Amino acid sequence: MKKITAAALLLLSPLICYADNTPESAMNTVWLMTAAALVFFMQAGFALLESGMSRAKNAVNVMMKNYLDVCLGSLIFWLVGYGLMFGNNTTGFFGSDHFFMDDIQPWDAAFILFQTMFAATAATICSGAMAERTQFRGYLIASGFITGLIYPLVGSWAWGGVHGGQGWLASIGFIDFAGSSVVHSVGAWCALAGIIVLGARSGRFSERGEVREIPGHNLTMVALGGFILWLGWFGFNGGSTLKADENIGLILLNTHLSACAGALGVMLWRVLQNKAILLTETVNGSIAGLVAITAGCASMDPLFAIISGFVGGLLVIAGTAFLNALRLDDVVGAIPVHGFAGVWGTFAAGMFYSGDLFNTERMVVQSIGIFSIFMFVFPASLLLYWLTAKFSGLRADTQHEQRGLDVTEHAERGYPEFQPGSVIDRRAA
Amino acid sequence: MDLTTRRRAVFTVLSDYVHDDSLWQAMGQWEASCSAQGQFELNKFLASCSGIDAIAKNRTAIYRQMIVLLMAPDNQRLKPDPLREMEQYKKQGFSSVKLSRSQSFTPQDVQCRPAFAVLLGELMDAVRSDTQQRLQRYLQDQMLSLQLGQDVRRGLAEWLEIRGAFPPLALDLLSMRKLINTVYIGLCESLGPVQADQILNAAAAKAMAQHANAGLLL
Repeated sequence: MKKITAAALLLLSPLICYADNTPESAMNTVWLMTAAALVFFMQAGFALLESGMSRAKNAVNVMMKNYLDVCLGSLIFWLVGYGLMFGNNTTGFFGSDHFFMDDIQPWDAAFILFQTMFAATAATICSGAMAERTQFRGYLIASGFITGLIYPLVGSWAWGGVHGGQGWLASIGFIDFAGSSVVHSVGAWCALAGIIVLGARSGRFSERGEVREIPGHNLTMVALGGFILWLGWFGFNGGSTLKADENIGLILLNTHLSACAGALGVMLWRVLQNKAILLTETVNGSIAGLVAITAGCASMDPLFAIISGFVGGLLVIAGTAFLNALRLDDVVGAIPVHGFAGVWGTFAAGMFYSGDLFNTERMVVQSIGIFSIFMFVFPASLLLYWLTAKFSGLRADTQHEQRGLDVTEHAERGYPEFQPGSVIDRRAA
Repeated sequence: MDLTTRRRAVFTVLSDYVHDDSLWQAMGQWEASCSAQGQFELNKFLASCSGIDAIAKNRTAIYRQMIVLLMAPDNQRLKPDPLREMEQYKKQGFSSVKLSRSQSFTPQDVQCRPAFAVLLGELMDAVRSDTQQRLQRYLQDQMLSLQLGQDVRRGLAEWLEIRGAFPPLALDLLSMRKLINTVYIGLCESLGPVQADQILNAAAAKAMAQHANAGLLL
C-alpha cells in the first residue's frame, strides 16, 4: 500500500522538489506550460466536436458555451476552486486555504495555470451533452458551480493536499494519474444530471419509444475536433507528471495506443454487427480510449493500455444504446465517452498496474473511488441543475428550440448565407 | 373516473355547443352542483342550464355525448383540462372577455396575418393526411394553453377541420409565433426534428416568397 500511496503522490512531488530557480526547474516549468497550452487547445477540440455534432442553428451557442467555460471557469477556479482543491487539506475532504492566489512563486503560477485548464475541461464536458435546448444563462450558472465547487471538492479527495494534508482517496491509494474519474467522470456525471433535469430535445424520442437520430451539421468539424482533442491529450496526460522526465515517453505512447484501440473497438463492433462504421462513433471511440487511459497512463504497460482503450471504445456503443433505452438525450455521447469509459479506465488503472496485475486490494480501492465520486457528484449536480432550473431557468423555450439558440441567445447565425428564416432582433434576443 | 377526467369530458362536449361566457358559466355551474356527484346526475345539471339557449336546444345530444365520453375506456378524445380558464373566468369574469375583444393590434400584427395564413397552410399541406390529422389534434389540444380568445380558437379549429379560405382572425404577432411553434413541435413529435426543420424551412421559404414579413413569424 505504501508503494501505491507513493505513486499517487507522484503528482505532488515536483511542487516540493522544483520550487527553486535551477535549469531543471525551468525545464519543468517549460514542459508544464507547454502541456497547459495543449490542454487549453482541447477546448477548441471540444468546441469543434460538439458544435459539429449539433444542428447548424445551434452552432454558435455550442461554441459560446465552450468559450465561456474557459473564461468563467478559469476565473472561478483561481478565486475559490484552487484553494478548495489544493489548499491545506486537514480533513481529507477539502482544501481550506490558498484562495484568491495573488502573491505567488513562479512554480505555483505554472501549477495553477495547468490545473485551471483541467477544471475548464471538466465543466465543458456538460455543454455537449446538454446542447441544443439549454438556456445560456442557466448553463453558465451551473458551470460556475461545477468549476468552483463540485470539481475541486472531488479533486481534493484524490489530488488534494499540495499545500498540506492529504485527500482521503489519495490516502487509501486511489490511482487516477490524470483524471479519468477526477476530471472526466465528474464532467460526465454532471452532464447526466443535466440531461435528466433538461429532458430530451423535442421529438428526439417518439411516443412509441423509437430513437430519432438528429445528425450533426458538420462532420468535418467533428473529425478535426477529435484530432485536436487527441493532440491536447498529450498535454493532459503528459503534463500530469508535472516535470520533464523520461516517464513522459511511456505516458504519451500509452495515450496514443489507447486512443487508436478505442477507435478500433468501435469499428470492430460495427463490423461484427454488419453495420456502417460512423465517423462520429469512431471519433468518440478514440476519445473514450483517451479517457480510459487517463487514470493509468503512467502505471500501465502498452499492451494493457491498448486493452483499456479497446474496451473504452466498446463502451461508447453499449453506453449510447443504454442511454437511448432510458430515453436520455446526450447530444454528443459525452456520458458514455467520459463517464462510462472514465469508470472503466479508473478501474483498469488498478487492475493493470504494471508489475502488480490484478491486485484485489487495489481494485477495491479503485472501486471505492469510482463509487464515492459518483455518489457525491451525481446527486450534487442533480440538485444544482434542479435549483438552476427553478430559480434561473435551464430548459430553453420551444420557440427558441425552433428558431435555434444562435438567434435567440446570441442574435447571431453560424451560417447566415444558408439559413433562411426568422428575423434577428438584437434588442429582444 | 377522477374529477379531472370528468371535467374534461363535460368541457369537451359543452365547448362544441356553447362558447365564451356561456361556456364558463355552464362549467361553473357543473363544478358547483354536479362535479362531486355520479356521472348519471348530468341530466339534472343540463336542466339547471336551461337558461342557456344552445344547451336547452341540444340537451339530449349533449347528454348522450357526455355519457359516451364518460364511459369511454380511454381519454384520448378529451380536450385538455379547462381548470385554469375556469379559475381565470371566476377571478376576472366578464372583464377578461371584454379585454380580449378590445385588444388593440399594431399595424405589424395586421400585416403579418396574410403571411401567417400562407405559412400555416404550407406547413399543414407539407405532410401526409394521417400526420395532418395528428397535427390538427395536437394543435387543438394545445390551443387552450396558448391563451387565445375563444373566437380565434373556434375559427382556427374550423379552418383546420374544413380548410379553404383562411378566416380573418384577430391574432397578434406573438400568438401567431406561438401557433407556428406549436405546429413545429407537433411536427417534431410526429415526424422527428430533422423532418420538422426541413418542412418548416421549406414552408418559410414559400411564405417569404409571397410575403417578405413571413420571417417575423419564425
